[in-house]
Amino acid sequence: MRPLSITACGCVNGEGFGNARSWTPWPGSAPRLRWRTLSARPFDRFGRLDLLCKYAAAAVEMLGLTPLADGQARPDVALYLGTEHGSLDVDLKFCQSIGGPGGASPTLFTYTLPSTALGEIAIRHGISGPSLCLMAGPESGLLALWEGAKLVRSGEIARCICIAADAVESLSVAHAYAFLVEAGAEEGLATVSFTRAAFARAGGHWHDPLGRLFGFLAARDGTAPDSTLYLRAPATLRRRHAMAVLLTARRPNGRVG
Amino acid sequence: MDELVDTLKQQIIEALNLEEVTPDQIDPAAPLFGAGLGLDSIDALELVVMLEKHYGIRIVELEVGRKAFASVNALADFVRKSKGPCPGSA
Amino acid sequence: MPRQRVAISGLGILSAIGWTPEAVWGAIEREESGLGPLTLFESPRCGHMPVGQVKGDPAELSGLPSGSRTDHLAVAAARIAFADTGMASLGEAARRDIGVVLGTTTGGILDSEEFLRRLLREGRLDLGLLRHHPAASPTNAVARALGLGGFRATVSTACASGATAIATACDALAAGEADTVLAGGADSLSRLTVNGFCSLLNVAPDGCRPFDADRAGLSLGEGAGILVLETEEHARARGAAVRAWIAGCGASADAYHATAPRPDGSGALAAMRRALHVAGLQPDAVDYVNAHGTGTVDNDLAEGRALAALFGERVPAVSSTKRFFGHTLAAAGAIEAIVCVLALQRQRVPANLGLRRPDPAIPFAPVAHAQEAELKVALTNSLGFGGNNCSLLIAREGP
Repeated sequence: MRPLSITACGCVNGEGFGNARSWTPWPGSAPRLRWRTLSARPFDRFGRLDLLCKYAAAAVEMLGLTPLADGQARPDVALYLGTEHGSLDVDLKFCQSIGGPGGASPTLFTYTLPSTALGEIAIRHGISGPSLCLMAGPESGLLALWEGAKLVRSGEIARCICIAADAVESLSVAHAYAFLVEAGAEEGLATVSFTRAAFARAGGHWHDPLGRLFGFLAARDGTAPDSTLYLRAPATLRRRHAMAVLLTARRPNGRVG
Repeated sequence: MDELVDTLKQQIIEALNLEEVTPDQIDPAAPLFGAGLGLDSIDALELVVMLEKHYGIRIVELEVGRKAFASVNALADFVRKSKGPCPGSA
Repeated sequence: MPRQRVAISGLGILSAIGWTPEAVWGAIEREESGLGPLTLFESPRCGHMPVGQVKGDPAELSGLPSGSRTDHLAVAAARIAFADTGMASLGEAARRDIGVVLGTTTGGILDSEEFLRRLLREGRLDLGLLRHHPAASPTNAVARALGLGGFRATVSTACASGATAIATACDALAAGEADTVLAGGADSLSRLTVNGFCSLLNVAPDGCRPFDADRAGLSLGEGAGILVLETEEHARARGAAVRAWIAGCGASADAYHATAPRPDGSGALAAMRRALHVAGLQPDAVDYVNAHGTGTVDNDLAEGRALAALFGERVPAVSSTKRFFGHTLAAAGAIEAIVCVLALQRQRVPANLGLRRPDPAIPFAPVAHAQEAELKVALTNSLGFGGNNCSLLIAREGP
């Protein structure tokens, strides 16, 4: 089993956006997801994505992946997405567009698949490793992180971007997290291990485990290095395991490849 | 004649959700696909829907669409030709 | 080091050509397509295109008092698969650890469409129709119907979902998280998918003809495919009758376009190579390929190139069985895995139904008619929208 690290994290929600290094509240009272506010790097397609894709893509952008040269790819990176509601908004919009003049919208059709978010992110960052979208209720994001970490631990792939995203306007839900999990990284935010022993220490299921994890990794609440956060396995796994996340002493800067 | 080209530009921007693009940024003679606006095959299909919605013209074959969408001018010509004695026939 | 092979101890399938593996194989041998008129609902657009609609009412086989069509398809297939394993006599305690991983793209959408129709056209509010909307509904329905309490997840990777679910289940078995998992996929026909694919202008007016020079697109289908997967240890300990083995799974992403595959087939090639690597096998070990082969101009060309690149001069027997079933979306990967199991059991290669003139641009010709062959290992591809690819290797013999 190889040592695992989380080397980067990102979050975009109703309050703002950021990563382990910085957090920016949305300007103005009603946050509208405008690309120019989020990133200096161009992303022409962004305006045309549906809301779920936008949030997922924005969270991944916070990871700070190095831009690729033309023709370059990332075959050794996997992309896992966990979403509770998937494409609920678009499903309904699409059904309504069916009877409309001109017929159904092909663009909307592609967004009735939550896996399209994986496709859009894969295209932007040249990620050609395995991709997976999991839907397992409220802990879908945590499940994606868990499965992604297991994949990297198994040695089958060097890195996995684990995304948790939900965006349904009619439910007033819109947020996304992204975590980059790597094998044996020397410089990371934290190391990760799975332990049965820590299950009791995990103290139950958090209401927002990934929010807790993000805050912990950003150490914004003054968490000391060498602290450990325990996250219980998602209930759907039916395992008495916890993920032990140990904050590293050094805080890395600079871009992630 | 220019009016149709201007209207089409607006309709293209609206149909494809091109947030940051204004009509004067679209050269009516330039190719719509590939370089320039960076439109792709799904966008072409979206324009098929737009044509039927606004002009009652129904395209059922990809090849017909490909020629019609070569540029905004080509599209304007296509619309004028198609709205002959029987508008809306497939 | 190659991964341990996973035992397939039960099969359940519902499709346009039959509700049992025997019925399905019978239609395959008789070269009888299941494509026919769409009668499930009215569809002014594309409603005249032939589809692979399941004949009869899946609700009769599922034993569920209520559920969406996809729920019924999934549960019916799951019951058959579970009974097939001889595990139906297991008590509550033993079932507590059995997992379920299913793929679906439609979930309960057919019922939700009916909800919208009644509300908008008739002003009736039938909230009950929405209960089964979520993608996780079929997975939960299967778990509840069979009393299964283990690891549970729903996978959504477009047309690759069924295969991805099987791969995810194999991962769970390899990691020791379960020793038995039901895995597969289910999707029903729906106005959303019929109109959606129609808007892409790639639905064949006279039924799909995979790899044909004059192919004109795909045909939609519906159904469910469920496989009961066990670790070798568990299967041997209980003396299970193993139908075949999963030797390896591989996934990749095209990172190219929302619906079109990479034209050079490199995405599919990467998935196939990964599966072979996991299985510890070389390409020449493969005796039969059940291609994704939807019949669209783009998919078949890209996949054809991928197969040629993988196998070089020695492409094994290849066929796409999509003209039998239609493209059953999330169920396809599982249904086609089951076809591979049946082919390995009977030592027969299914025909690439619908072929009139092989496409000269593709460097090999698929098998035109069912034929006998020595089959030890089969490869099945599922290449989904958004460039999600998943390949499975199925072997006649175990570790």
